[in-house]
Amino acid sequence: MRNFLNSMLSKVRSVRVVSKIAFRNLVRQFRRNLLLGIGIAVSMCILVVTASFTNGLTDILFNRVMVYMTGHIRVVEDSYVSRRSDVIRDTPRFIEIIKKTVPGIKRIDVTVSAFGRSIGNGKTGMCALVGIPKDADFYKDTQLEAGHTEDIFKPDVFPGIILYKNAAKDINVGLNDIVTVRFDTIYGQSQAPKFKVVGLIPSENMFMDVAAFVDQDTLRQLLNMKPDESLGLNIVTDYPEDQRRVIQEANKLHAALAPEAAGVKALFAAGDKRAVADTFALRLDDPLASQIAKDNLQFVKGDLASLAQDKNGIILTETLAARLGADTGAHLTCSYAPKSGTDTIDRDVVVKGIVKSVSPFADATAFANPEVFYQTYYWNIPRQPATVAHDAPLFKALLPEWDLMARSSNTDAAVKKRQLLGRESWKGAKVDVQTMFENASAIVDFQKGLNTVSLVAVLVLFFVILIGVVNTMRMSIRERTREIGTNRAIGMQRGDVRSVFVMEIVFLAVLSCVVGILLAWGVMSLLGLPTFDLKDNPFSMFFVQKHLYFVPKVATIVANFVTIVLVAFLIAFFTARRAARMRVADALRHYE
Amino acid sequence: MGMRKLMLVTGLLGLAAALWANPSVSEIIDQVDTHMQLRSDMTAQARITTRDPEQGTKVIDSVYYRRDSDDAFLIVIASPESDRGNGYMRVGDNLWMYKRATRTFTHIGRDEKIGGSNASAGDMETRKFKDLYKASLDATGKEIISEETIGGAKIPVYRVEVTAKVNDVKYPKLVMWVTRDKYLELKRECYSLSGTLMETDLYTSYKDVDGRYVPLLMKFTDEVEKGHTSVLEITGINFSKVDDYKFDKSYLESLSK
Repeated sequence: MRNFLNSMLSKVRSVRVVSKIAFRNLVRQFRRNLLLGIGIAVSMCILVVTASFTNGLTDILFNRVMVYMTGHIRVVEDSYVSRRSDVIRDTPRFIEIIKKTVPGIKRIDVTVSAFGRSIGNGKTGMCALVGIPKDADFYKDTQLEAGHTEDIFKPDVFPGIILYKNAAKDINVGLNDIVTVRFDTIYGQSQAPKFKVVGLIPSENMFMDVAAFVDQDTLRQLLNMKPDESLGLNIVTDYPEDQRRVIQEANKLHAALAPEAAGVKALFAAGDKRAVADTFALRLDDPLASQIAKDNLQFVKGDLASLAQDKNGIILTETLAARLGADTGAHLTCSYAPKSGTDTIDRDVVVKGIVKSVSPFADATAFANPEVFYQTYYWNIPRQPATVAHDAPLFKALLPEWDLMARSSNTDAAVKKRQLLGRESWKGAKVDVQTMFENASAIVDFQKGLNTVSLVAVLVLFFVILIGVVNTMRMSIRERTREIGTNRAIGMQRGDVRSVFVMEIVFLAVLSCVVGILLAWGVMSLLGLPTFDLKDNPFSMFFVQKHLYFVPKVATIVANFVTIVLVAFLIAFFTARRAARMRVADALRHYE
Repeated sequence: MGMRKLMLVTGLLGLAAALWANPSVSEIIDQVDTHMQLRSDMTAQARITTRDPEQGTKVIDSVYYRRDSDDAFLIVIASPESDRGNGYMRVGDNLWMYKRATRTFTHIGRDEKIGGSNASAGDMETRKFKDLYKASLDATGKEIISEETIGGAKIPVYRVEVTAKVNDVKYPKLVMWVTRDKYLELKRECYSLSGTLMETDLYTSYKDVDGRYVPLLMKFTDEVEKGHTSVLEITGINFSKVDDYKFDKSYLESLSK
């Protein structure tokens, strides 16, 4: 123990002496070390500024552009009956599924928006109306140049709208002016409501300028949407840059959104007879599904072909037919209460067949021609849905609530999927789960490209540092060869000789890096000062409030710092090792 | 005798009142449907001239085919060169848009605009008014209908107001001016869901073609963005049978070759 302690003490004393010598040598060769130090400091400065700028661009892309365009994960529902509409009919149910399945959710943005044209005073422009819910952070986070955010939903003759300043200028309107915005409802009906401009936001970039903000409930009504309907759900997570995790969670969500069979607890009426029955629709346009239906339905009267030929056709179980006193050819009224609204949904149907009870369906069950559901169910989801187990033999023959589209791996695949959707003739609803990585893999690739450029810059600078350090070391060793010989002659060990040179370089690297970091802060502050007014320039999206945007990250700075010091150490170590191995006699004989 | 005379006069007066009473809105739109119903295949040339204060004038020439049996239609654009070969087709329940440049068909809705004009694909369908609209009622529950005259020639017309029965129509409210003698629509004001006047349409130069009345000139005026107008001129109307192959996608594709 004593020997160990003595050994430690001796080492500490040795390190102190070596450090003193190293530091003195730094000062002794001031000019040369200053130049090397400046080189390392500038390199460190460039690394910090570049990394901070790249981080800033990433932050803009992920947290200021993508998050509003698509969120980190997005759920959409496409439906087509007589027209395409992107409407999620049962938003609360989807939100419940998302909350159960996806962890780390910061928030779920319910999309209620419309694209149209704004008409001001003699001028028109493009306009993307965005509905903002009353409890959104938008109201306290948005700095207005004029007006008040809460005036959006203040009772007035016209509802309030908040515009970006440049957009308002383009259509010749200002605060308290009236703007007409023309768009279509989700059903394709024309709308041209008037709004009063209650606020102006300072313009940031030409992409954001198109957005105009209104109260979400107001916009929902104008779009003729029901309270539970939305145009999509944008999920904002707290791990947007973790591509693998985002995609993994999206895949889980995709599996969790597997649809049930589209079913309604409907009231059937035939004359004065009434009966409630679980009502489903058969997929008669799918040969496989038709075959399953044929195999599992035992017809007492009528057949599947008759059902397929009549868009208002329906098949009843024997029990239901008996309760209604209905036979094939009978006209019935089928009605159900929608989830939203008070008016019941009614449809006249014609009995095309009677079948025996089908397990595990209720005794009173009806199976309709899919057209009956296309004209009713997909516009109005029922307050009381009918359900059946997934393992029921007839399940695959039933029209589902929606078809779940396959996940896409990148933007190209996502684009092809949407193109194919546009080219097929289909009816009903399709649900898609997307992440920002496939929605805008071009933007993500751009971010990766920036990181690559940043990495190349790092490597180039390290190379520069390497050259500088090697050169300085070699010159220093050459000049102090006799000194090395003298030190060795009076008892300095090889290790100590090596340590002197290594510590010189390490001290220099550490000091220079610290100076470089401070310099970087100054440079970023200076670069962030000028205002860039890039009104119609796409690069404006890379500025925040018209200023360059830097996000320095401690981890990155520390990593660069450690790397530079480590590189300097290694170079110094191997160069100094050679010097330390010199023979004393050779070192003493050395002349410049 | 006096009593009989009184009853006769009362009866005659009642008959006269019935004869002179306005038809109901439903009867009028029924008549409009009847007169507009083609009841046969049809081929015609159509020219749409669109004027936009910012973008200037654009003229689209097209050929229109209609098959009566299933109300299928095909529009093939002949000019300008940039749109030539593009088409719009409805067969069954499906509406398609064809782009010659990409040789692709896209499934569209009724609201898809034709060549950027005010005319939409849904306008080309012959959906019956009575299936889409019903009479609007005033505060007292009466149908909104009045007798007026229109234009310099003071043509006697009925002015009727109708409201959409279904959701998927472009204009939920219409005010129509229909001639009293032949129930031909001369003017239409189209209102948005929020009650804003969006468009005024004029239908003129009706031609009796084999007992059917076809407006040869239609003008659509945008009332929201002033200065935007579209004029649709119909020429070369022919009611002979249209070959079935024209309502196949391959026909449109063959025109692109």
